[in-house]
Amino acid sequence: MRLLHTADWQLGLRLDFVGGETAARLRAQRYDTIRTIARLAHERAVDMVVVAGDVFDANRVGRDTLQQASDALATFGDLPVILLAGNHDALEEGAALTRLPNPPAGVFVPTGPEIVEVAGVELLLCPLQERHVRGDPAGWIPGRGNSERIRVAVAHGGALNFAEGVESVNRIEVDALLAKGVDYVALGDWHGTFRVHDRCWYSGTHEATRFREQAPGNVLIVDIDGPGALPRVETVPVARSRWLRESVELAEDADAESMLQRLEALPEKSWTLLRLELSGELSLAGRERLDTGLASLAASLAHLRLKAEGLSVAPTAEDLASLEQEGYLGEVVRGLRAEGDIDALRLLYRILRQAPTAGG
Amino acid sequence: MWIRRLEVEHWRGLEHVLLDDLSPHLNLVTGPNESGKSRLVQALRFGLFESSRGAGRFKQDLQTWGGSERPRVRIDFELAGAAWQVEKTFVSHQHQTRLSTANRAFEGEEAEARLRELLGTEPGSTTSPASGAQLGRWSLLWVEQGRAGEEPEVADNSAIQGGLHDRLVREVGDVAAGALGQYVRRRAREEAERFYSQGLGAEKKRLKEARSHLEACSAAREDIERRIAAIEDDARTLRRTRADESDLSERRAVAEAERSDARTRRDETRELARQLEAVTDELARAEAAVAARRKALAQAESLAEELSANEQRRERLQAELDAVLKEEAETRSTLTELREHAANADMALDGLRTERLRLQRLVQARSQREEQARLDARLDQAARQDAVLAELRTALNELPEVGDADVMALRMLERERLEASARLEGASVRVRLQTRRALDFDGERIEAGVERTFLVDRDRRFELDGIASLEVQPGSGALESLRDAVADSEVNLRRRIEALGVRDLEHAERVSREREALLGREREARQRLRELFPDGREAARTWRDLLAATLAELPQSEVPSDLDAALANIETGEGEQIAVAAAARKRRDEASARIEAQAQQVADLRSELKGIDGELAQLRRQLEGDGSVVRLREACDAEARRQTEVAARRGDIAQVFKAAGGDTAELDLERAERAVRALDEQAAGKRDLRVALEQRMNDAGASSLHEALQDAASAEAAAELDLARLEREAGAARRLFERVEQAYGAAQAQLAEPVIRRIQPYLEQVLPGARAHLADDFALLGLQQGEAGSTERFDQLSGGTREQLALLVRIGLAEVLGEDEPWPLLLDDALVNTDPERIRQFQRVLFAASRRTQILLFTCHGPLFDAAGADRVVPLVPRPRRR
Repeated sequence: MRLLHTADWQLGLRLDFVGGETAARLRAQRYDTIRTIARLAHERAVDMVVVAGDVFDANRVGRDTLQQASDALATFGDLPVILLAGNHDALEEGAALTRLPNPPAGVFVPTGPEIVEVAGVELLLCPLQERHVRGDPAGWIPGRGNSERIRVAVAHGGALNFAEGVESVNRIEVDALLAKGVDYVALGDWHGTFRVHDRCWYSGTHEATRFREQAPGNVLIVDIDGPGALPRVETVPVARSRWLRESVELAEDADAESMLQRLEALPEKSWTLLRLELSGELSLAGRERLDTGLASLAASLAHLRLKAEGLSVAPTAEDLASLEQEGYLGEVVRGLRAEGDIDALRLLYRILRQAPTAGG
Repeated sequence: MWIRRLEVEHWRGLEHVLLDDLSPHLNLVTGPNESGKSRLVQALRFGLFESSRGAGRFKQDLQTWGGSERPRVRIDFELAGAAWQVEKTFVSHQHQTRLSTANRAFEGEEAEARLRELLGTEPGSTTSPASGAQLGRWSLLWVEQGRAGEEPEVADNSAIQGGLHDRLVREVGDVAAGALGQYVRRRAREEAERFYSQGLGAEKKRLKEARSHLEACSAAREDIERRIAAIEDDARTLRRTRADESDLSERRAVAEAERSDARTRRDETRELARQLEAVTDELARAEAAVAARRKALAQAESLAEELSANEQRRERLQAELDAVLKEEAETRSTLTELREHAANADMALDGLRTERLRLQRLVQARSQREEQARLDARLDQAARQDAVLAELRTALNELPEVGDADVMALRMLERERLEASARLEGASVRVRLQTRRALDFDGERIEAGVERTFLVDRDRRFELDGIASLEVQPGSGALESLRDAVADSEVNLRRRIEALGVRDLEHAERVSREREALLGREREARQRLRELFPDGREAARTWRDLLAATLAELPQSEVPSDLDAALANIETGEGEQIAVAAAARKRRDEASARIEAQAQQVADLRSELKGIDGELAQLRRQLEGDGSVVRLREACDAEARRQTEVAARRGDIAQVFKAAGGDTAELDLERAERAVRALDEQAAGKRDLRVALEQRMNDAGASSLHEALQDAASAEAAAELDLARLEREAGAARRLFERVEQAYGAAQAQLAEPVIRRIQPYLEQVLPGARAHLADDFALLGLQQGEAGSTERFDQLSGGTREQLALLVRIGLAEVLGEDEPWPLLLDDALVNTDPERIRQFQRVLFAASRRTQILLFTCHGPLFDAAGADRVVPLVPRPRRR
């Protein structure tokens, strides 16, 4: 038996923090990547597709989002597609999953904990009825008993104690679950692909939603030969967007130069989102060149989020020489330096550089 | 430079004025109004700064009205050690300028250019006089009339600024920035003003908009969150409502079952209740029968008691009647005796009263007789007075009637006569005769040694013993009238005496006195009569006659020896008898009343007895009709037994009713029905709520609230970032600008310091303790009073102080500008707002300043500047304009 495990599509996510046209492209891509997954499912002849929760980013999504979801799901054709309700789209009143317009024939939305048989596999479905469930959403699953079928549990919640010390909700006791004779647990909620156990995986989201996610953008092809057999899990990248995080310490102006060169060489920059955190110390001239270089880079990337609070500017002797002025300006420079007012000093530096005669 | 000589011709009414031998130091040009001071100042200005070419209106005005000669000015001055002379003729289309020095001369345009070069001015306009920047340093140095209080125009004058800057930099070193400094200053200001209004006051639109945009974004996000929360709230409510509906349905089924059960029990208890009602009615009837029997029995017993009581009462009344009758008989016997006693007492009283009256009449007669005797005595007295009166009247009638008035008249006439005689005597001749021998004189013999005096009041001849006749003729005609007067007075007196019937005056006086005495006595006698009979003598006589008649009528009975004592005794006896009689009558009347009361009592008792007899008869009849009390009691007992039996039956039924739920069965049913109804109502309410919520959820399903929320949150985050970035940029720009301005200001202050240093000694003279503040561009900021005093802005200073301070600054700046080549300072009535005392102090300043710089001071207050120590004083005489 082969199934495709995916989760956390978060349809309806706007990604407006990226801004402008890029956000629109990224939004549209979330649906297009579903089509990519459908093609993969057909190519790899899976028996079913399980989406382990958070199909929608929220239950309050609009009709347009629902329609686009239906359109994308249609590409699965008759293939069984299990859409599980997660914490973002829990089966509350007016839940998005219950409002899908004309869902394709293969789509199945469980409305409560239930066991269904699909392609000879006993599917143990644990949709979330509420956003936050105290206790194990999969706690209800009975032991294997006399069943001789492959048993696959599909659930949404925390298998790991991600938030130490905080009372966790939607907490899934994986060990207990596996002890009940489940062959594979398809989990959703964690946006990165993650193996909890040989029999328990998070597929992660198909397209990243934020920078801090680790290893997003994959689906899992899971092969289970029979009841009790260890599943074979293959990670298949499907995402179009690339979300990069860089944390660079710039010890001298040359470091900035080399970093800029490296980033300029990134492939497919129009689909690349970069979160760049800079620290270290540059000269005034170095900072000026870095600012210029980053402005150019930002124009070519899909999105550049810069955190440069940790980057300080220390005027060098050369800077100071260029700032060295006669008369009252010398007084100004000395005063700003004494106060460590780098912002004002940078502005003065720029003004002086733009001066028609002196300084350059 | 200094001006040595000024000559003016045909200049607005000044035909020719020459100021020569001017000093390179302090020159004072004085003169009253219309003496031409302002015109000379104007000529100097035109001569030095205006082109001679052109016939603009302002130049035409220079011509003397009605004159044809062109205005002309010639100025000799010394500059950089060389002597120069400039001569200009105005109102011409050609240059009429000549500039010459020791061995060179320039004409026309060249002369003008050369002059401008020498003086550092720029070409002026053809339509208006040169001013401001065109005049260069001269706008600072030359103060026109009435403009001394204005701040020197330094800021916009590049010639002055440049000049000052060059000289001061040389003096204090390169403290200020050059072109780059100015550029940075401008750019820093531009950068700051991208975010803040001028002067860094309010934030500009950009920052404000970013801030309000963020607020709007936050508000929008919160609004969407509220809407989502409301929908989620609705969803929760809907779920609860559905659960409630299900719960209600179950509860209704329970309530329905309870209602059915209650209804069955209610029907059972209704039947029992009907039975209970019937037996209750029966019991009531039995109880009523018992009560009726008991009532009849009680009534019979009561009648028997009443009969017995009435019989006893009748006996008591009879005994009472007998007693009253006996008392009445006794009272009647007593009454007879009492009546007799009373009659006797009255009789005795009548006797005493008669005796008393008799005695009283005797007493009355006695007093009347006494009164009569008194009256008789008075009448006798009156008769005697009548006799006296008659005598007096006779005596009066015998005397002539001479009164006081008559005597007074006689005395008057006598006085008149004596006065007339005296007047005659006075006018007569007194002839005294002394005889030495006896002789016949005028027929009379007179013995020797006799002295006689003759009064001669008319012509008289005395015969002197035949020896001689002596004729005496006194006076003239006057004697005649005096004699007549004497004769008249005598006649008058005599006639009056005769009329009165008296002999002479003395007699008349005596008669008058006698009459008066008689009349007095007559009055006294009449008074005595009036006192005897105040009511008149006739009334007394009548009264006496009445008394006599009364006495005659009184009985002439025997009068006891002591009438008064007898009367007193009888009055005492009568009083005692009155009391005795009254007591007797009282006792009689009391007995009489008692008899009446007893008679009434007898009648009442008899009546009551009669009534009781009637009642007794009736009671006896009633008792005989109702049957015996014994029979009645038996019937009563029978009814009571029956009542007990019915009550026991009712008790049994009631017990069964109660066991079946009793009255509560109805209530239970009502309660159960109400419970069902209440649950139905609740279910309906829940159903309505659910339908409404479902509708709302359905409607909300179409809206893209989630996406909208993300949009809003993103927009808010972007706005936040934008604002933070702007604030950071704005902060940097602001701080840079402030620091640049601060540093620049400090540098300029350093630059301004030499100017202030120059002014300060002068300022000490005029305004001790004050310190001037100059702006970075040498603009006058204000004046600080004292070391730590506050600074007053220039425009807030008084007119006089403003004028003095402005002049001092001009002098200071002029000294800086004139470090290499001093330039003349021209002041045209520059201290008009300054008081004379200050002007005297200012003279020291002018004198000190003029040691370095030529000063031309034009004033109409010459005497005020007597002590200025002027090197040259030019007094002007009035020269009225001809226009």
